[in-house]
Amino acid sequence: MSGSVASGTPASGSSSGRAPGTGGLHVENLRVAFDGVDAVRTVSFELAPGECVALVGESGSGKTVTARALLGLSGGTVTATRLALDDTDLTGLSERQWRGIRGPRIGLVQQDALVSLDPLRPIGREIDDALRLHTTLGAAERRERALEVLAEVGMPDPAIRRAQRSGELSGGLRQRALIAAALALRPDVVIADEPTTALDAEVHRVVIDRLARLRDEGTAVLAISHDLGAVRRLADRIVVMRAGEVVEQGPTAQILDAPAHPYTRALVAAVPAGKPRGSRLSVGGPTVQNSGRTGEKRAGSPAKRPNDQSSERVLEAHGLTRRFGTFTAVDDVSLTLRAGETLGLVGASGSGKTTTARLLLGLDSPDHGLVELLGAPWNPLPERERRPRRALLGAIYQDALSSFDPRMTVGRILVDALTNGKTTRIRAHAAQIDALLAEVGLPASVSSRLPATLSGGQRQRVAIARALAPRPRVLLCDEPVSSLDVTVQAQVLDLLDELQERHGLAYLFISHDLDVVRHVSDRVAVMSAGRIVEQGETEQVFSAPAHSYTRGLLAAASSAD
Amino acid sequence: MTILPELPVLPAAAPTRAAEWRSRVMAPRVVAGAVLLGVLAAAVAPGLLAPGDPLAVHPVDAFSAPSLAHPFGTDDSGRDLYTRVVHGASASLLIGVAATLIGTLLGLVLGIAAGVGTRLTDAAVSRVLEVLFALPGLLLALVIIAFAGPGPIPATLAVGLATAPGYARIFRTRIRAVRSSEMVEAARVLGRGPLTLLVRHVLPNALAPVVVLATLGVGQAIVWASSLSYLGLGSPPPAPEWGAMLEAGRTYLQIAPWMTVFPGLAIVATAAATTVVGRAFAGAGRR
Amino acid sequence: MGATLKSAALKDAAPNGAALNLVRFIAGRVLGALFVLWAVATLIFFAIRLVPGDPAEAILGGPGSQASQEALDLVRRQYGLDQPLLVQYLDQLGRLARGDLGTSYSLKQSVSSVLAAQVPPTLLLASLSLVAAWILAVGVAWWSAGSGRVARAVSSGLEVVASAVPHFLLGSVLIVVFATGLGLLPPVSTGTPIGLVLPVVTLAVPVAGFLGQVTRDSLLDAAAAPFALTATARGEGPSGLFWRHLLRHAALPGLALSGWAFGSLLSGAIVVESLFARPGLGRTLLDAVTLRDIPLVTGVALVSALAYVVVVALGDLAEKAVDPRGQSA
Repeated sequence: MSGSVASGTPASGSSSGRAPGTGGLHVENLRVAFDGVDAVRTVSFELAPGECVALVGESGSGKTVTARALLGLSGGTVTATRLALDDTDLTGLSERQWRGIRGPRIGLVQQDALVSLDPLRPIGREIDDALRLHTTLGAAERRERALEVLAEVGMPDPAIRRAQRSGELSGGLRQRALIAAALALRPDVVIADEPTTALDAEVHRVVIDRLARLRDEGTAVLAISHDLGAVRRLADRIVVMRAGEVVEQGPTAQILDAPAHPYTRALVAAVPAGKPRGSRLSVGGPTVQNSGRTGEKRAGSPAKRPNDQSSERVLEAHGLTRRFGTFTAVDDVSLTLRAGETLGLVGASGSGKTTTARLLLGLDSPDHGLVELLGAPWNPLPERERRPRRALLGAIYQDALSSFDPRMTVGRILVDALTNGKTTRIRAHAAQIDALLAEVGLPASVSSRLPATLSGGQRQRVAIARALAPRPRVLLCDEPVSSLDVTVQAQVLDLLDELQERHGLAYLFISHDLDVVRHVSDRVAVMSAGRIVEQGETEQVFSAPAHSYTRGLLAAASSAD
Repeated sequence: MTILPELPVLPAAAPTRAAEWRSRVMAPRVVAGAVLLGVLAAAVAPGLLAPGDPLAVHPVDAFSAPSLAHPFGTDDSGRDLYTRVVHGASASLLIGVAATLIGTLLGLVLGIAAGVGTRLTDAAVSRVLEVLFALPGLLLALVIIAFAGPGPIPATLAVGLATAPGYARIFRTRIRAVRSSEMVEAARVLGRGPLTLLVRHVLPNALAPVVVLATLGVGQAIVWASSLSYLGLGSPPPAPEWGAMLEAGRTYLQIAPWMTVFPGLAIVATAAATTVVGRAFAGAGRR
Repeated sequence: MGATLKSAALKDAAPNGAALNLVRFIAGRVLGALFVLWAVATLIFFAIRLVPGDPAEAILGGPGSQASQEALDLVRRQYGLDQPLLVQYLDQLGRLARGDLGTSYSLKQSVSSVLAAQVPPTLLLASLSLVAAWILAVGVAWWSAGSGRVARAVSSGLEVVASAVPHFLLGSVLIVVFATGLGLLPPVSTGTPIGLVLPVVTLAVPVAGFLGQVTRDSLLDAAAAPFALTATARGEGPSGLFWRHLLRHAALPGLALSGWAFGSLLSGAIVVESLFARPGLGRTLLDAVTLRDIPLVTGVALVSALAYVVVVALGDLAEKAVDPRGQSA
């Protein structure tokens, strides 16, 4: 049961005066169809006040459609044996009746407050709207209430922030504002749709904490997430969805520690947290030498990894500095990457990781400092002199699709990479293309497709194949799995691991995801405000961080587990 | 219902799209395609659609309202307007296409110079474009005619020159956007030189919509060219050209409105059809 | 990749003083305007010398006038046409800098006084039409957004036709229907408010068609954006969503097209003023072009270029007022 609103009860009434424990959301046999085709079917679960249920699943699983159906916003045809909030039947409500439910009874928190709050309006106005729509409060009282709600979510200087737009706030502050706008009416149920996606570790923790407190105060929380770490912290029960159906549901510990359904098992296995370097994450999956079970180390690894100080230095940065105007994006950064090893580069967004990557790739010139590739100068150097050695240094990116020429088929992309741009005619190189595709676990038939018609995982595989084609020694991976579903992420990480093993590649692996970095890296460098604040052996950095920033980063992340 | 559209990522969204595709998207395209085919047929073989002589004078029939014998009516000299509209297609279309060619080609030259060239050429071309934009559309065309004198060829030239800055700006923006795209960075990382980047990636992607733009532009060019004719600065009146027919009808608007309406409708139909077809191309290109 | 970083850096570097920004904005626009005016004057000055034909002949009524050699010489001396080209050019610039636009060949009075009389009617016509166009565009967008697919298809079709319809045809049809047919409104401009109705509608509809298309496209984008879902999920109804959230987003591309809208209105004014026998800049230009009255053509071009720069600056200010984020992507 939610606390009664301090001043002004929601116009639709009944949020106060219900006995605790009898309310909540009842969903039985929910079905959502678009033009007669089911997107979601036979979904049933209960959500009690003071409880958090997590809907877990990957893209296309129907979890978002389910959540929107609970707000009458799915856009499809919704049928259910029972769909009720407390004693209010939600089936067959008119649009006007729904408007009385949305806000005061059921609130929604989406991901990415930058676009989920109107970017052209001050956040105070967004909160004010909710109060104006559903309460009889006057303008002054509403302003008072908005300040209260902002203070409740831990917004510093609410009186100043109120007048700012989402774009003027930091990621953490704007996510708090988004939550405040949903909580202003004290809804009985809060639906949180991927509330922590794309947030840095610290903001992540703030959001999870706030939702946990909300639950503890008696609100029913429905969390939609693909992040099992966040789910473990927050949820009492988990509902696992796949392709529009519930495959399994139960208490959090049972689902995460002893999953019964094969899909849930694959999902849990794919989480990199706590899995040592070199162990497999993906179950089955189309990677090539697919022998080991998940969590098991491959024979011979990781002990024989040449990550000792004697192996060849393939990429080195000495005192790199890059300024944009008065802003120093990269400040005196020095790195060493040795043959066959993975160096993880972590840091919050805006810490200078991407600018560092551009300097290492020779896409941008440093104001000071030097990059060396295989012991020879690399940047700064005229591009003309770099070009013959570009084959040694490859790169894969977060958004593989936008790194391809949209007019070229996969085959032409690979021929171009194989022949160093001499031709894009496939005929003479068909065998090489097939071999390259097989190496990254793709069928030869992909060759004739356009990248836009492939799935996210397939695109990243093509990007890897293209990067491998010129036989590089170093691969720079800039957030390569950040926009992939967790099981696909597992497959791509396993593939990268196999390729490293087979070709002795050195990876510089950039990510904001500490679990992923910990899983893939031999050594880690931590970046903050343009500087490398700490670097060392992965386990050493993660288990005994020396720098206060690293400690804070790790604390924020681990408390979310 | 709210105006929230259907969720885009659902597998179930496909049939929705298909149904909408048929009803909302395809129907206007079919109509527009038919109109364009008709105009093209009239331009290539007017005699098939209207066997009469567009210049044949029948003073007795002057100012006849539309009837079975004269579906579009007749003009002040008793000439059959249907025949004249059909025979006018080639001249109007030719002016529209020629003006668009001049405009797009000049736009390409300026746009590529600004988009590909050094910072200095870009600044210079951008300044020139800025100045030309300050003399918008018909006004620039009129200024050009002030020097070149009236007539169909100066009018075509004027419309072409007046549309060039718009094309130039689009091409410049697109080239700049593609040059700084991740795709081009990825190709640079693979070791491609500036020429390869330009020829293989930047220009093909940036200039791909030139056909679409030109299709859209033909409609606009026909409207502008006929506006010039209407103002007495384009084709001289007896010629069966749509703009010139409008100028002839202007005097008799009150007593013989069909002299204005039918050539005008021909212009609107052609321009609207090229817009719809051009957008269809644009949509196909995006898919 | 680096774009976000760079823009963050720029934001950092930008001075916060709003007043300083405004001063910089105005100074930049004034310099830009001066450059454009100089360029237009120069362009026209040299264009006259490039095309065949004798300006002196044009002053005396064109090649058909059979002017005597003495008359031509007199005119040449009077207009400084016997001086070296550079002297003439500098002379012209000097006069323009003093605000002297010269004397019209055809009207035999100063270009400045002609313009002073002709600018206000066009300004009135164009501003009313712009307002009418925005009302029409937003109205149609609102109507079609709230309705089903059929309404959207109809309004989208109307917009395509409206933006393709030439002014002369629309005006003619309006005259035939409302003046000749129904006798409700005067067919030519009478100088009264009622006489403005048909010209304004004629001028506004094509602009509205175009604005409507871009407005509706961005309206649909805004309606699909997460913030629209957030607003709906707090119980906002369709009309609240439209007026409080979507309209601002939808209006942005239209405001960015202010320069284009100005061009369309001015181009249209040439036809509309001629069609409805209204006085104004457009008709003056048409007459000047027909008579090859170069000083008057130059004057109209300079005024229109100046107006263009002002309109674009106003459009930018309006855009900033709606979207204070700075560069909207």
